[in-house]
Amino acid sequence: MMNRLRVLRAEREWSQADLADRLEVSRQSVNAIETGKYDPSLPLAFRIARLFETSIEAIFTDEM
Amino acid sequence: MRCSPQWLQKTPSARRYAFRLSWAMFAYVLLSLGLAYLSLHGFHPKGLVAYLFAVLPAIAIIATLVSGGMYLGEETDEFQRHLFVQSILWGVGGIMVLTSVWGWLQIYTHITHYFTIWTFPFFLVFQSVTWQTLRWRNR
Repeated sequence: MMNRLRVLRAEREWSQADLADRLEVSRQSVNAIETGKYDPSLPLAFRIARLFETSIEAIFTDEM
Repeated sequence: MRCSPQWLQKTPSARRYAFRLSWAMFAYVLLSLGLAYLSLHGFHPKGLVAYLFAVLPAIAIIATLVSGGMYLGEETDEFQRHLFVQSILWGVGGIMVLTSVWGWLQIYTHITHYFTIWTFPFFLVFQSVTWQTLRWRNR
């Protein structure tokens, strides 16, 4: 699954650690999601979407 | 200030797991060596007492499994949980491969007998090495 997490994070000038703190997960989790190594659960995807004030579909996509 | 590399730093629940695991393994070593010492010095109980003493180290093994289960229940970081579950699968796979290969070697060669009490320590080694490797790869 592809995602725009890195772009959204960069727009806010947050480091991975900043985003991890806001999501209450480890920095490794943010890195794994950003690099596509790990797809978050639905509850975490909702938390991410809520943090960026957008929809899940606007962040995650199954299209290349 | 933390001195360890970031990938080695643990979540609070992982630290609690490490603490519980250390105590369980300490108890396992102590009970195993204690029983061996008593046995070598003429302590050979009979009946129900013999059974009770024989399974004492297994209680420590159960404690390590329970501590792993508690970690999975307490870990709030789902990615860290995912890595731990993956390492358990690698541990199970590793021990299945080892015992299968050893079993066939026992049939067709003169390799020493495999004692099943080694199964859990080998599993724990496979699982722990894989867990740290996965954490390092995802640092």
